[in-house]
Amino acid sequence: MNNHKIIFTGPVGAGKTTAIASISDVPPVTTDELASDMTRNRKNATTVAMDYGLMNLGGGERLHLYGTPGQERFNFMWDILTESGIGLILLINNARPDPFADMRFFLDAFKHFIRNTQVAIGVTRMDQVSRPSIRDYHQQLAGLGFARCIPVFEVDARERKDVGLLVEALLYSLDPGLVA
Amino acid sequence: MLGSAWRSTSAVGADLAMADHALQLRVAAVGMDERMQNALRVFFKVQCRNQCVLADEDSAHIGLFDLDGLQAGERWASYRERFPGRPTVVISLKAVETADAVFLQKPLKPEQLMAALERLQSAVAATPAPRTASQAVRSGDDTPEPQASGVPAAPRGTVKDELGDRQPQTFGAAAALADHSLTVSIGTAPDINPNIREDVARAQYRPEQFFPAVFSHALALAAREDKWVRVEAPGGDIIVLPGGERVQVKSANSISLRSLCSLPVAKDRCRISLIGPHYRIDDEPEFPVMNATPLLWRMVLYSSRGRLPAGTDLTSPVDLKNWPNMTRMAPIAHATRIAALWATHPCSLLETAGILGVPQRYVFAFYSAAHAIGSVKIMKGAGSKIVAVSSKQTNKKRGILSRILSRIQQARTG
Repeated sequence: MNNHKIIFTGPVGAGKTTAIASISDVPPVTTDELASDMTRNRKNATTVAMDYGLMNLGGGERLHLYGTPGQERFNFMWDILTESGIGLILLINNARPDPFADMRFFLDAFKHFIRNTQVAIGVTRMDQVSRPSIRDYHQQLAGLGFARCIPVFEVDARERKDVGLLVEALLYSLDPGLVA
Repeated sequence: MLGSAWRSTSAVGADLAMADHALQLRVAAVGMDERMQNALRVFFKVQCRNQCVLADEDSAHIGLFDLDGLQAGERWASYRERFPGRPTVVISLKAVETADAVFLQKPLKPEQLMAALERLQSAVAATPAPRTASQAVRSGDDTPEPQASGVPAAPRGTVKDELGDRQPQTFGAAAALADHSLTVSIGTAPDINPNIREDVARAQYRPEQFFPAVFSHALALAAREDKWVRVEAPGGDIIVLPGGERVQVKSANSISLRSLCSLPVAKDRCRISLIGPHYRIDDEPEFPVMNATPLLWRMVLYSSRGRLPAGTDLTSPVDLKNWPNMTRMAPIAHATRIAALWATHPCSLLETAGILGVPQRYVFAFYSAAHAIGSVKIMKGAGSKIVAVSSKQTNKKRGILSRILSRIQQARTG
């Protein structure tokens, strides 16, 4: 099997599309439409199907980067997208009214996938809204019963080195013995 | 965290006290003519009351280096190569920024020279006998960071001339401190044999003697009291905002953070005090407000230089309480692997190095920094449960994950 995938998820405006674009070898495919309903006030365009990016690994192997739509009404796609996935990148927008609720929601929604793989959390827009802090996220996670420590990093979704380090943490969480 | 050997009260203006270090300083005058050396001898005898004495380069505690004159750049590079990390006062007619020395501009004022020597005297007091770089290598000691051999840079905005194009990394500017991508070298110390006492001693240091302990204490005070705290240190002040999570670093001169943290600091050179509630931070672009934790992380890396806090248990497993915010911390080689191992399979410091196949100094450096910010703890009395992550162990996904990892690291650093 030469095709592998990592899933990017999170609420609207968390930076999933941007993060995929920052590490994709090709311009990502986004399925954007003008926002309707309550999303309109946050952004003019929002992903309504999924984002797609690609990293070529050489030898015909590819890593596919799938970004889930952030709106809950598309959650039926989440199970489809996670099928045979390597792991999950959860991006949380720190500028939203209740980022902890967002985090709990997505960790619960993907709990079966996370149990079988791993998750790494990137908190975006901390330059705009510094609270809650990363320490606060750790405290929240401690109460959610995760058996393993989850990487939680501040991430600028536009920065390849931030997104890359988050993915790296995901990979090492799957297997600390990895050697590049 | 780092533990506290400091006394302070919550009253405004509370001081910290520390035992004095008495030491006759041996000072090497480098690049100075006979007339200047004679003037120094008189100065040391009369104004310093023989607490300083002129000495040859090999046996000196401190260097007094004249940057003026022919081939200063080459002489400086040679000096630093032979005496890496030696506390040094650099003097020159032209103002220069120095990453690893105190600068005084000519003409020298006696009180300025005395103040500089006093400052360096305290740092020297706690260090071993002076030795050259080659002596340190022969004895197996770690060598200081490569940056220590850099040439002092010209003032910002000026064209470098006879000093050449080499630019040391400088951390004196507060803006540079906020750059979490700047790597901190942790030296080249070889792995230790835990059965050899001298080896174990060499790999340890006493954090309470170094500036990060002062800084950590100030952060705790600001958090506990929810008040502004000022840290006065050689080279400038650090203002800690109420809550202890953000700071403003104000550097008054060219002493770098690395120089401040890399040697033990005299307690009477540092002071922590509460500031009144009406204090407002100066809005100065050159002194930005930054998060405290990455700064503490960096400071500890400078101080530890690949060593562990004294008394650290080498054989009990290390548990990762939470991942450090790695995207905002000064990078340490292998840090992500180490964190991932401790998150999933707590094991001892020595086992970690063996399992991952990495030099111990990286494990020690990561532990020291992570311990200082409260991210790890030693599980005393617990046995290790691994090895489940040996590189030889079968993992059907390891191949593809390794290839993905390579590609990600390429993308991240490319």
